[in-house]
Amino acid sequence: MKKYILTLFVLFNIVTSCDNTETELAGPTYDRSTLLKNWYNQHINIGLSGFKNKVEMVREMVDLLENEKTIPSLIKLRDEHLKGWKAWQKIEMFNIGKAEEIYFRSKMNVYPVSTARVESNVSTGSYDLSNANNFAAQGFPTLDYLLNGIGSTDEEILEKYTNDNKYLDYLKAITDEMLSSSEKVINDWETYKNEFIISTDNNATSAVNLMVNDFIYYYEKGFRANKFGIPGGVFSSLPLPENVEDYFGKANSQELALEAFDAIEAFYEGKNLETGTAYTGASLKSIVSDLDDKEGDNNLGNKISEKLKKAREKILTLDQNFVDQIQSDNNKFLRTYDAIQEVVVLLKVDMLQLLSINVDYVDADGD
Amino acid sequence: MLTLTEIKKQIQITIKDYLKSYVSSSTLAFFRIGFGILMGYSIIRFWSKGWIDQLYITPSFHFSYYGFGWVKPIGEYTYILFFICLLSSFLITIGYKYRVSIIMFFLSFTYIELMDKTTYLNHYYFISILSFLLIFLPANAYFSIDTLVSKKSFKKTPKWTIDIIKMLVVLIYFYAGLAKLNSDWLLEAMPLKIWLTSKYDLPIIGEILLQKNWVHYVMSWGGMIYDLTIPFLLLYNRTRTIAFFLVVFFHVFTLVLFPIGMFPHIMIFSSMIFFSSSFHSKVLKSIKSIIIKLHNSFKGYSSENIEYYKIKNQRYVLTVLSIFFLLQITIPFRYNLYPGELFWHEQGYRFSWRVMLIEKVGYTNFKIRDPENGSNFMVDPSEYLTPFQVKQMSFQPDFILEFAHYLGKEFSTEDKKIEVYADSFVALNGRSSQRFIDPNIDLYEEKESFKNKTWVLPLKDEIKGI
Repeated sequence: MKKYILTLFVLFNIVTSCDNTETELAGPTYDRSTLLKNWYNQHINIGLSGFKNKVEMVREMVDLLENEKTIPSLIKLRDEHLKGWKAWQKIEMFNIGKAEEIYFRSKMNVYPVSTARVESNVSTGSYDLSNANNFAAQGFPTLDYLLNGIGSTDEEILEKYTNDNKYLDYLKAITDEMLSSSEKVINDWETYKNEFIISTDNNATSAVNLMVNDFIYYYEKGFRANKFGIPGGVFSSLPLPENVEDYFGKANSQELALEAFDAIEAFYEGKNLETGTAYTGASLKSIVSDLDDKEGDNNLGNKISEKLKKAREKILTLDQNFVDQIQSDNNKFLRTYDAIQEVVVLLKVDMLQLLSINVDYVDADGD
Repeated sequence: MLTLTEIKKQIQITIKDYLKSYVSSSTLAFFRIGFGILMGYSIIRFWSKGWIDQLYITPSFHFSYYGFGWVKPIGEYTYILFFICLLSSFLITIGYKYRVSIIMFFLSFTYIELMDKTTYLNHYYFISILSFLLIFLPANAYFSIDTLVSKKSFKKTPKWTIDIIKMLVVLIYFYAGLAKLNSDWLLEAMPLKIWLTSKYDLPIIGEILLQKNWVHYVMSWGGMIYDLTIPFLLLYNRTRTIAFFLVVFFHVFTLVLFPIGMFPHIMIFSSMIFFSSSFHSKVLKSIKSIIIKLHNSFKGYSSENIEYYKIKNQRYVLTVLSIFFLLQITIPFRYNLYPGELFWHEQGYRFSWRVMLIEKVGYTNFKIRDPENGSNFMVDPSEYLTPFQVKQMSFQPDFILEFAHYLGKEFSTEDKKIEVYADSFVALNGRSSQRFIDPNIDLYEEKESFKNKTWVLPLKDEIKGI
C-alpha cells in the first residue's frame, strides 16, 4: 500500500512539474483570445478605418467632378477609385458580423459589372441598390465602368458627364451607398469587437471558427476563383477575360491581386496589415505550427508559408493587366492559378484536419 | 474415456437443455419498453432539429448504397415515413400489435437509413439490425397491451431470446475494441490527439489536460481496453456493477467530448440487458404503480398467467438467427479481401463497428473534359451538394464515383459522352495530405462494384494492425 502511495506521489509530481513548463511555453502562441485581439487590432480595425478614409476621398472627388467637369478631375477621381479599390482588397475577407448581414462584399465588389443594368439604372434614375439584382451595378467594378468604360477616350467619357446629370447622379448615388455601408460596418464593430475578442470556443458560431472559415472561403472564392480561375477559364470551356477585376481600367488587375495577397499573407503569418511587421502572440500560423508535430520544412505552418511565397512569385511574373495576360499567354496565367490552388489544398485539408473545427452539422461517431 | 460419439451426444444434450431453459419474461419486456422509448425520443430529436428537411428534402442529390439506388427520399412524404417510425416506436413501447409494429419499425428505420449514405453512423446500423433481431423475439409476452388483448401473459421466455441480444452487444464492443488494435490508435494516439486538442474550450480540463500528450495515450489505450473487456465484465455477476459504472462513465465522457448524438444513450441502455431479471422486474413494477396512480381503473385489467412462452417454429427462427450472426461475425472482416490500407480506401469499412478511428479531411473537385476537342473545365461540388454531403463525399471513394457519374450524366448530351476526372486530396489521422484519386482515370467509365477500386491511389504510409 505504501509503495502505491509513493508511486502515485512521484507520478503526481512528474505530471505537475510538466504542467508548469509546458503551459509557459504553449501559452502565448496557442491562446485564442490573443489571436482574436490580434485579428481585431492588427487587421480588421486598421483595414476598416483605412478603407473608410479612401471611400470618403472617392466621394469628395465625385463632388469635384460635379463642380469642375474637366479631364484632371476625372483623373483625380480615377486615382482615388484605385486607392479605394486597393484598400478594399485588404478587408474583403472579413465577411463577419454586420458586413455579412448587409452583404457588404456583394455591394462593393461583384464583377463582371452588369453594364446593361448600370445603363438602365442611369437612364431611368430609379433603382434600389439594396436589391440583390443591383449588386453587379454598384461598388468598385461599376465605378471602373463609369470612369473607364463608357467612352473610348477621356474626352468621350467626360462628355457623358457634361451632356446631362444622369451619369453624375448615379456616380453620387453609388458612392453615397458605399460610404454609408462602410460606416454601418465600422460603427457596428465598435460594439461587436467586445463580443468578437472573447468568442474563443470551438463551435460553429464562435468568432475564431467563423474567421478561419471566412479566411479560407475568401482565399478560395474571392481570391483564387474570382481573380484567376474564372477569367482564366478554369470553370468554363473557354477563358473569360471580360471577368477580370478591372476590366475597363485595363492596367491594375495585377496590383489589385497583389494587394489582396498582401492581406492574405499578413493574416496568415501574423503581420500587421499596414506595416507588415510581425506582431507578438498568436497568429493563424503559430497555432497551425503548434498543432503539427512535424518540424522544420515539414511543419504545416512552414509549408503553407512556402507555398504562399511560390504563389506570390508566380503572380509577380504576370502582366499588370490580366486581360492582356490571358489573351497573350493564358497558360502562364493558369500555372499561377495552380500555384495558388496548392495553398487551397493545404488550408482546406491539412489545416482543417489539425484545427478540427467543430461545425456541428449533425451527429457523428467519428467515421 | 469418452468416445467422440459420446462427446457429440453430450453437446447435443447440452444444446437441447439450453434451448429448453427459461428465464423471467421481465427482461425482454424491459428491453422492449426501453427500446421503444429511446427510439421514439431519437426520432423526435431528429425531427425537432430540422434534420429531416436538411438531410433528406433539401438536397437535390442523394448518395445511395450499392444496390439500393432505388431507395430515395420521397419529398414531403418523407415526414410520413418518420411518422410511421415514430408511431411504431410508440406501439413497441406499449406492446400493442408488437410483431407488426417491430416489423414496421425495422422497415421504416432501415428505409430511412438507406435513403442517403451520407448520414451513415454505426449506431444507426446497430438499431437496424437490433430491430431485425427483435422481430423474432417474444418481447410482448409479458407486460404489454397484447397480453391484455389476448388475455394471456407469460412469466417466462426462453433464455436464448435474451442471450442473443447480449451476444450482439458483446460482439459490437469486442469488434470495436479489435478495430482499435492498430498503430495509429495505439502508437500515435490518433485521431484522439487531434480531437482532444481541439476541445480547448471545455471548462476545467480543456486548456491543460486535453492538451497533454500522455492524456491522449491514456485515453486511446483506455478506450481499447474498455471495448475489449467491458462485454465480459458485464457478463459476470461479480463484476457487473462496476462494469455498468464504467459504461456510464465512458459514454457520458464521450457525450461531453464529441457530437456523438444518441450513441451513448443507446449503449448505456443496451448494457442494462445484462442485469439480473429481478432488476427488470422491479423497474416494471414501478412502471405499473405509476400507471395505476395515473388512473385507478387500470387496476382492473388482467390476463391469465401462463408459465412458459413457447416459440412457434423455433427451429426456423434459430436457423435465420444463426445465419444472421454468422454474417455479423464475418462481415467486419471482409476488408481483408481488398489490398491496401483500409482507413485510406475504406473498402469494407462500414458495418464493422469501426468507431472513432479516423479523422479524415478531403478536398475533391471534378474536371469535365470533352473528348472531342480536349477542352475542359472544373466543377465545384458545392454547387450541387450540401456542405455535409461535400464533406463526406470528399474522402470516400464510393461517394466520389457516384457523384462523378451524376456529373457525367449532367454534362453529357445524347450524342456526346464527356469524361469526368477527380482532383482529389485527402489527409488521414494527422498525416500530410496526398493525392487520393488517380487524376488520369475517367471515372465516368468506372462502374461501382464490390471489386477493388484500382483508381484510388495508395496511401504513402503503413498502418499496422487489425
